[in-house]
Amino acid sequence: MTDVNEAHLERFFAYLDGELSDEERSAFEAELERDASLRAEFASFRATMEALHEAAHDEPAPDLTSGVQSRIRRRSRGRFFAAKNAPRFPLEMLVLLFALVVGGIALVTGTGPARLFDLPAPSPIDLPERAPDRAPADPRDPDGIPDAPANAPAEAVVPSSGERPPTALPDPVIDESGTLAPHVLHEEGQALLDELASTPRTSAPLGAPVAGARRIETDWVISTGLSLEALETLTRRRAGRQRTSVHDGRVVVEGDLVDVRPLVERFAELGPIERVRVPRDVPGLTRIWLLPEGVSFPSETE
Amino acid sequence: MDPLDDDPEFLARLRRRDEAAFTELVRAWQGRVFGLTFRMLGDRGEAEDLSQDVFVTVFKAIDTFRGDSRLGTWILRIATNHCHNRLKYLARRHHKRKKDIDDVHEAILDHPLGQVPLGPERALEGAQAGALVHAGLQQLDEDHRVVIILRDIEQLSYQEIADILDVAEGTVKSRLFRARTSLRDRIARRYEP
Repeated sequence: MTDVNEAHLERFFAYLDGELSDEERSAFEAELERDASLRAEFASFRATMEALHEAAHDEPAPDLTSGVQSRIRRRSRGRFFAAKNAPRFPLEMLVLLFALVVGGIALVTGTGPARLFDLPAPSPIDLPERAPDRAPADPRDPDGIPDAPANAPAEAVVPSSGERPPTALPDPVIDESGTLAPHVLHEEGQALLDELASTPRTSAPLGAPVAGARRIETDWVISTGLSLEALETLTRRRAGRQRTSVHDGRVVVEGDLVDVRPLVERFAELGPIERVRVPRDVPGLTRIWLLPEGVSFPSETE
Repeated sequence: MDPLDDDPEFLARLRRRDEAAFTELVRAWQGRVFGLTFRMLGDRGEAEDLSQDVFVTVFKAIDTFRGDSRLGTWILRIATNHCHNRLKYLARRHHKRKKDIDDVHEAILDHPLGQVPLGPERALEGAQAGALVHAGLQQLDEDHRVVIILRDIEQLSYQEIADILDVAEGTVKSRLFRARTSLRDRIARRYEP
């Protein structure tokens, strides 16, 4: 009778893994023949191992592939896996028509097309400034896939935290917030985002007051067709609670200039984007204004 | 691993974001990715959701794949990392729900074979072997669970597992030893007469 110890277990596993030489295997089998308790113990391990080997692969739901395609389509805003039967002709016609109209106006008025998109003049409005103990910027990727941490191997795509990626949230299209605009960037919004991408990032310390002068910063205004309640819920989900607040019936998302582009991109599909310039005492800070249906950007008199 | 692993042209198509190639990749790997996530998380819905995220990450990060390892190893590495983070999330946010799942696993182990004085080798011969193993796996530590899934179910080599988990091969072997012993003990305890 043998007490099964660690050495025996190692030989069990080596035998089952086929890692023993012919000689070792024969010796082990002979020992099993001689020792009933060892044989019983080995049978127990072999049963477990065989059950593991034979564990049938559970099949995923048949729509997993289409689910992946759908997520990529949504997160790439239609650049990949777009519906193959989507009518492209009308969109192309609209772009052409738009270009003709702009060109025509420019010819008639003698104004260069670029002038037609000049930003509005700065509007002096009072905005609540950022609290000094504001939470650090959200490190998550705009498309919800966390980037690898600095110490990760190049090939290791390791999400940066245990937090669930925001993309695991329900698709806003099917969210309780109701019908949203199509996942298509408005042309003006895309142009602004392209311009922003080529703008050098600021190195100004965040939250540091500018002595003696107010700065003019750029805010982003997105007019959505949502109710305030739905918009607030959606915004908190996408941008996080610490970034989101409500001011006079408008949802405001605060962001650092260095990460404003991904922030804007998170909301760009909700409606037309405008850019406004506002005075501010804190550099390196920008705001995204998400306007519910029927609400406009605050005027000077508000 | 998969024959697609060694096809440079296929990899080039993936890097070009060729949609047909990517769809082919998903179809080829969805079973193994889902199998890993399902056994790691113990919940079908979570596993399907996470599997989709894994492939989105593959799609997004394919440019960072240098070919130092096999493509399949890289995919499973992403899946393993996603599982780790999702488990942390679930442990933090859904502690009660996790407890409920654990209770279900206990119930599976207790019923119905546990009422019969069968030896584990007999119990595991039946149709419930898959359920018993699945339930037993859920009770292992995460480190032990992943290594036993990769080795004994996915049948990867020690080196591949070491690459996926970013640990030494010796660590894989020692974890596997403890994992197998622990799993066998958990199942065997149910059948002691």
